[in-house]
Amino acid sequence: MSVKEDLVKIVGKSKVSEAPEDLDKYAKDESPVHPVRPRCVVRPGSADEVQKLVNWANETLTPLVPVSSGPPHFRGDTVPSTGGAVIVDISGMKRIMRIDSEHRIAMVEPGVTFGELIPELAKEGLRLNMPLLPRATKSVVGSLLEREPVIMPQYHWDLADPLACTEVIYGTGDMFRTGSAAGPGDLQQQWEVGAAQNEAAGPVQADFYRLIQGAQGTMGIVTWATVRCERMPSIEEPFLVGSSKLDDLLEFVRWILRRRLVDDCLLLNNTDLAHILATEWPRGYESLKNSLPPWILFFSISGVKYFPEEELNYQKEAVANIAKSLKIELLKAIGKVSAFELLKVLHKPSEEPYWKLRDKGSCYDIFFLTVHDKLPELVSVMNGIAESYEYPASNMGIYIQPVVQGVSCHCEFNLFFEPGNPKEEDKIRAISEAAFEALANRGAFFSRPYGPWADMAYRRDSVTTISLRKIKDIYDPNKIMNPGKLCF
Amino acid sequence: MALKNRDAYKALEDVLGPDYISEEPAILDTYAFQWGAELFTSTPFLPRSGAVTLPGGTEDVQAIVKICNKYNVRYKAFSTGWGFYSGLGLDDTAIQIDLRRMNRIIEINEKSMYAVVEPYVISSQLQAELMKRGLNCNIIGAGCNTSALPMAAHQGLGHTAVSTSYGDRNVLAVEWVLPDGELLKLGTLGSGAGWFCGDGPGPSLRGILRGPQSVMGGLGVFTKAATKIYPWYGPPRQEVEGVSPNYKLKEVPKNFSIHYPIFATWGKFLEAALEISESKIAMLVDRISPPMLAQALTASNDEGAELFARINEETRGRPGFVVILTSESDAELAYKEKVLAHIVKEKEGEYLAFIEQDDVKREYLWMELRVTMPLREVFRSTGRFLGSIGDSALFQTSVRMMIEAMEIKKEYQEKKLMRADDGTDCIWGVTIESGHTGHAEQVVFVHPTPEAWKALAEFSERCEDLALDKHYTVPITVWGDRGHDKFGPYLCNYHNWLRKFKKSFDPRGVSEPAMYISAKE
Repeated sequence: MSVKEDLVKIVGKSKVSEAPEDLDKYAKDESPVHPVRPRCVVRPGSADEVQKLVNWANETLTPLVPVSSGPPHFRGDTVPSTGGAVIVDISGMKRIMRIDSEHRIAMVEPGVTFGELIPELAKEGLRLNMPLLPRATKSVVGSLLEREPVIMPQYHWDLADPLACTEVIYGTGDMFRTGSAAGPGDLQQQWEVGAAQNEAAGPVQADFYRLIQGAQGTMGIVTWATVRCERMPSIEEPFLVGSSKLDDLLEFVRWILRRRLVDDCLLLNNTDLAHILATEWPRGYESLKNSLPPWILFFSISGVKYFPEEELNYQKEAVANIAKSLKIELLKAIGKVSAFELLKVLHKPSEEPYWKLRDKGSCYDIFFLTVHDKLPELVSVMNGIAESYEYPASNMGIYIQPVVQGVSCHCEFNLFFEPGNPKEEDKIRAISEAAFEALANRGAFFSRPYGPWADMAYRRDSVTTISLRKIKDIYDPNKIMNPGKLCF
Repeated sequence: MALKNRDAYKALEDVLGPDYISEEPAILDTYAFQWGAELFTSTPFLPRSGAVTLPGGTEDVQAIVKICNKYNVRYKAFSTGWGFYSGLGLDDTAIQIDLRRMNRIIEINEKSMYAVVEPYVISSQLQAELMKRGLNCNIIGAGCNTSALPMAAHQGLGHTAVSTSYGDRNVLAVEWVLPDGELLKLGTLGSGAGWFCGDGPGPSLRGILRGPQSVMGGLGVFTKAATKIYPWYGPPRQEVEGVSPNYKLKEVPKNFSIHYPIFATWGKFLEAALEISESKIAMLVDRISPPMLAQALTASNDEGAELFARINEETRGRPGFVVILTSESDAELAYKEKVLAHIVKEKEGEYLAFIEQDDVKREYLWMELRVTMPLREVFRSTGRFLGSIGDSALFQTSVRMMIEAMEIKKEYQEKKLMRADDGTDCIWGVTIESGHTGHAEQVVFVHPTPEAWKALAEFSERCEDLALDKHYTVPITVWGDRGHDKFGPYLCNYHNWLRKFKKSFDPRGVSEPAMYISAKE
């Protein structure tokens, strides 16, 4: 039997494609990784079909590349690293399986996007701690598995949040449920006793979910996940703070996070904020950007259930006191940007076209984790590198997201470029490579290394590399799951 | 009894020097004398290990572990030690690694809110340093004299988990001597970026570091770890008065308050606990049962019985829990008090008047903040305790399971195999992370007789069966081959994966597996 015949037997004729135009969509993405055309695309509709596919791949030693979000893709993790791969596109698995308002938890399949989940949660009085303006096609489960930073650091207790439990088909073909979803009992039996698949840890003496998070599909394929949600506030008030000095804002952020006073809290440079809010290009963008200071902090305060106005007021007073002591001015608008307008924008996915593509058509992100103290130096280093490759630093977007309740920060540089322009693409590739070493040498931690960063990251830490390969041998002994990624 | 493998002993002595290794029976017995040993040996002593080693740092630990691998000698690390967990499985073919010389606070990073500690830094030591800086840490329920390392404890849940989470979630970067002696530096530490993150690059090896339960010595030795720290709104130094054990704060710190709301039913109790936790007003939501409360606040069993009767007179069996509110301003405290009072009223509860007394507040507040009460709370009445101990999934399901466990407990109390004169409800529990998760356990006090220990083991197993039959959460009495082989088949065969981790990372099986899992097929 041919590969196609095998796959048709598992998922049905309409879910298998070898059409060149279909394969080409998965052969490359917006990142500088080398294009590799897959052999076939298959679109399973259930965990059972996924399991059969993984079993088949083990028998035939066929590489599988899982894809949960729709295009465009940006990081190379869904582009095959080797020939003969089968793309397992699970973006069609779109069930919102359960929303449990009492326990603040939602269970979704991997094809569910932010745009689909947010309104359903709102009906139950819940909201997501979501990443910054995900694209319309972005999978919620994909985002959770990639440890994408989220915009409400107060509720981000652990870097793995807000992922709770998962169901995964490991590379061995075994089905497993992580956290409290593992049992005792099946899901229905757990619900009957009042359980909610809300505890990510476990079962028992391991945190199995941490081994599939950040794995870029190299350990298995997740067929559903639960996500921790927060109550929708009754009242919210957003603020903006502008500054020419990043350090001033960081000190203020440190204190408002330490006191757990704010919900949304993120920093953008004027380039990124203008990219997010501009509606007319290029004039509207330029005019908006020119109205802004170099750095803008956005944060919001909320009152939720009990005496929400009083809750809001005591927090406002506390924030105002911190601001006063640091000589920070809290504003409702800066330049042409209104805090309320931004609040509305940030709690939804990006409008189309995706905000990172509006200017030049494509964007390459360089991101890492660091601590507040190191940020100014790292920003300065990155500006220098960009300039040295004749990429004007002022054209580079910068997004700083405090994470883990303020313990560390996600720092992201957005390099906007023209796709298909070989000169620009070469420049971006060169900047990316130069940036990794320069930033890592100054304390930037590439916790999520995509594409060429992976080799560079693992070269710095041989014992971690060896240890991860042991885990890979356990979960995917035949190396069928997205081979060539990370250190596998 | 001495270490059987004399070549190994000699090699260890050569590395550590004669001052830092011992096989003196009297010394070894101080490690073997452990609470709960009766469950396994019918005596207060576990079997003696062959020797105890006292490494001074990571290099010593690595050297010990490599020698153990070379000579096939099992080892088990011990930080501050607490109960049979510390030495179960050891005998004269194995050694204990006592980490007491590794007692330094390496770093307190105020800006990034983490502290880096060695295994023998105790929580009160760390907390005292943190409070000077307006910061605080999670202190595990076992008390402030235990290790501050976030994966040293069995579970690591503390009374303030609603606002300070617990060990599994507080771990950042870790320095870890793997079972074969290799040194793994988790997360940022391995990449030379400091201590602020334990995840990555790529998948997080925190996945095998621990779960809701730690690996309890079964997967190498943790030599340093960074732990998240939390804000503290009290004074930098606590002024206390009185004589041990009746210390009291000289005054309730400004903008602190403590209450013990009680409710007509367990249903209302659960609703209130969850609403209070979710509203983010509380620093602490701690279900201390009346018997434990009475024991904690008294200096003898007689006094405890008297106080228990007095508290019971007021509660008339109505369940309640402790709430501590802290704030930085009068307005904040006023808001929090108002919300608490509103929820208590809404759930038809009332504050326990006994706790509202100023001297009781000053005494109990200090106990809760410093976690000084466990010895009196659980050990004094009979000298021994255990129970059915839930997971960290949901407060509601954990408490419901423990209410059912009370019915099982009653049978043993009627047979006088468990202490009965302080009531049946001895549920301890906490909500975690604003009530997103939670934990409960049913504490049992037994007199140290063989029959009572047998009853206790039987009770524990019956509660495990209850969890399996009713699909409740996994009790944390599930460890070792027995527990994992019992529960694994009902939980996606997780035990098979755990065994694979053990086999892969500890190919010679020398990191003592009794409290974790063996690599047996």
